[in-house]
Amino acid sequence: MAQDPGTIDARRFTTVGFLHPHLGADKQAIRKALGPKLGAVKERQIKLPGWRLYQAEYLRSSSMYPTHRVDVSSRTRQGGRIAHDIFIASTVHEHLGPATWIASPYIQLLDEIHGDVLRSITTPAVQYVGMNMPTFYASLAAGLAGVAAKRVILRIVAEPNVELVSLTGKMPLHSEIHDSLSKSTLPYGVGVQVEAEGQRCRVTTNRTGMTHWFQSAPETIVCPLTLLSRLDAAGVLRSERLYPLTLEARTADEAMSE
Amino acid sequence: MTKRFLCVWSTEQSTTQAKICDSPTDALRRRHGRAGALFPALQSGPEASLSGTSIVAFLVPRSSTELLATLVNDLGSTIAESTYLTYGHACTVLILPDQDRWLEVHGAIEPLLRGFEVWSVDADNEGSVTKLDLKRPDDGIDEASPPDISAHDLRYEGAAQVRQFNANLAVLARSVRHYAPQMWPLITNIRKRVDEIAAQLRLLETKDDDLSARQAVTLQSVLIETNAVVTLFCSQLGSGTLPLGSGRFPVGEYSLFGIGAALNAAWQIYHHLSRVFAQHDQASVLVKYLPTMDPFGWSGPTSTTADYSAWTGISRRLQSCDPEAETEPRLHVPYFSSRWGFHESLHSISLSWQCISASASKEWNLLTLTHEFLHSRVRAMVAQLFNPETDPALATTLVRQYNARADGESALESLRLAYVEALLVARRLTKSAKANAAGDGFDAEVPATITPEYLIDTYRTGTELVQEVIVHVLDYRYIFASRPEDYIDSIWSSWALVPNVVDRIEHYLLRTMCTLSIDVRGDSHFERFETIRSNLIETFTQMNTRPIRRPAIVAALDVLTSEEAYFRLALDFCALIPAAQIAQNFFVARAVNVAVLKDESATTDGDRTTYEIEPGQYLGLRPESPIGFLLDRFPEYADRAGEPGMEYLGLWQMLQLG
Repeated sequence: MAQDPGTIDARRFTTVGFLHPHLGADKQAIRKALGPKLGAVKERQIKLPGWRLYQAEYLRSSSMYPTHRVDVSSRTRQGGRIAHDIFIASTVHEHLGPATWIASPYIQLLDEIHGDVLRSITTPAVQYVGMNMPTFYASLAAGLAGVAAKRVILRIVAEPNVELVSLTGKMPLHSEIHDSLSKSTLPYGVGVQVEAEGQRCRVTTNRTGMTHWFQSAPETIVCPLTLLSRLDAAGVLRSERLYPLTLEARTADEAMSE
Repeated sequence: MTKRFLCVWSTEQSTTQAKICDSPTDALRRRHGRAGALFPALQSGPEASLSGTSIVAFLVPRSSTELLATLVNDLGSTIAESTYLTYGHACTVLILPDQDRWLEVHGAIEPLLRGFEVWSVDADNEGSVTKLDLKRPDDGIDEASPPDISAHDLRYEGAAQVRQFNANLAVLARSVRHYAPQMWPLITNIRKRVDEIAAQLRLLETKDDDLSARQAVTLQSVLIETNAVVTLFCSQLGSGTLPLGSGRFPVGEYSLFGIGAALNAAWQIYHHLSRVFAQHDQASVLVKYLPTMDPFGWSGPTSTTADYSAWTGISRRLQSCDPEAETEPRLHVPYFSSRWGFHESLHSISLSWQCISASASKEWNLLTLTHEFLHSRVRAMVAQLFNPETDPALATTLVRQYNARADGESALESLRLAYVEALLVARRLTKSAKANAAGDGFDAEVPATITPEYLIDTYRTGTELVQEVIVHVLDYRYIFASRPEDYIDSIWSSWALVPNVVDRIEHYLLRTMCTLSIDVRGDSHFERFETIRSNLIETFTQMNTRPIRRPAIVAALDVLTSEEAYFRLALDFCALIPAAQIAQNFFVARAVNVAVLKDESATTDGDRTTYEIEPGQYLGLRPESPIGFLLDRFPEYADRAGEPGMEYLGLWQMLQLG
């Protein structure tokens, strides 16, 4: 029997962080930024200081759900539009200012939202949250509370036939092979295990700021948000003018996921 | 996108008028006529124009990439579309409708500016200019200028050159302080070098012998050449300073804004390389560690199946040796020259003048600068390892070992002997080519035994070709990241414009083929030769379909497909392989390779490193590796200069480096 996508959504979520003083200030601002495609918006409680979390419906004329698993009739709204749940988390990063993180299982949907935001917001220009990977690695090596590196993704420099290499294990950052590779590589991405509020989840992020995790239950979202708070405090986050979900970033991410 | 020019001139009443035109020549014919190109910052932005009364602001940024990122992204589309690019220190120009708008923008960008100048231009009143505001760039250097070099105790010629240098350096230092503080290391470095020359000259002039007299004349000529270069650089770097039009830079379409931004881009590329090589002195690694390693077999250049595994083994050990930093690296003055093109000398590196406007073409791309840089490095490295001219005892030892085919006492001695053999082969190839060109016969054998005099003479005549191969290998590895398609395209696009390449086409082919051999597998050199030859035929055939045929490409194809040339080329290729192997195993350092291209701001698409920036985008982030950035741009370069949009792309990429 097809499952109601609104009740499970147990799948890989991707999020990107938008930096703008007004985008995520409140429900009204969010509605203004995302435009008429934004349906119902509900605030959700989250035990994480400094964050406000919303679950919203993004309405599309066609469904992005996998048809062999999902019956979309329960997600059809007025006008025949199909509702897709997205999460919107607002905070103020210490060094970057107001930020709004938008998450969805569908990267194409995030692209559409990105387009909506750019159309409705012009000045100042929207920037995005990226990751200073060397600082991230250094923080992990020094010890980041509740966060353990399980995978490091390195970009090989000056090697024509190899671009990325991934080390996975209990402590890949503290390995001899990582030490020897670090001379000719640059930190590109990292997969960490985050524990917060009774939840445990593996979150992967890369230098562009593209971040994803497997959300087994709605409460799991506290893990990536906790990670972002810890990274903010450690000075890992930085502003970028390039939208994180460029084709190149996605291609590289897919290459590491295969 | 059409290039337009801001044209400025003086009237008989000594007032200033300005206009934006499609051509600068009318203005340049007028009194105090100056002109400068203006390109929209946005690739699809409106062409520059003046209507009614416009406020024109000329901005000298602290960082061009940061300023442009703010103007284009953060202040709204109207400001973005009012932003224009130039080649000068004032590389950004705003054309605004009124002063209020300027004040608003100025408030947002003031911390990003080093200086600015603002005019009001009344297009309805014959372009009458009223100068509204001027902020000259502050002194960006904390330390005092270096003192004059003493000309005391020097004879007239040397003393005159030293005094002239002091004056030239004072002028240059002023421009650097205010407009290019990032170039300050050049000021202190070149002053030090000239001071050293003056000290040597002072000593030589106390002696009476012929050798000292010849050496003194050589040093005087070095001083003359240094002054010529510094003078030219003063003129170029001092062009386009504020207030605009106050100085003289009578170079046509660069006469108003100058070429400060282009010089800065050249400096960023050069200085990056210079810093990397200074931090890793490969010659000192060889001199320190090779004497501790066992000797290896070096002979057999004509063997078609020579085994270089012993060389590779030593090379791997060298890669893990700690590098040493150069204590006082020499810096060169990078400048643009229409006379010398790409050229390097003791104190300077010149880029072809065409690179200013055509740097986004394969023919005139800025990566060619690196080839000249590497020549100076390779020459210095070889001199550290081995110079029979200045070390007669070494020459005698090498001759004895070579004649006996002995491996030497250590890996360093083996390397020197390998280099000797490479020199002998190169000498043979060079003389054979000249003889063939003259229709004369020539004994093509490499001598089995030699004398010290023969070795020294060979060092003079054969060293150019061997060092060319070494430079090409380093270029291929370090600059082109071992990407054969881009490497071939770049060097042959630039060679295609050099007339005498056709006369020595086999030499140029050999350099390319030997370089590529380091990455081509094969059971024999002949097999490698055939693989490379086939690939080059394919590549050159494709290059030959470009709109303008180049004689060098046609000549190269003729040789590669000629039955008559086949075996000669194949044998010469096999003979030069050792030179390429010397370069690959001993001169290439993985740490340098990494440092040249390492850049945290770059990313990857899984297949290749990329900067993810499109022309007309401004991300506010200067690449850490200008080389990596330009290499990422290279595949999109126009095949030849003059293609639509190419000049804009070249200027846009230069401003990413500033």
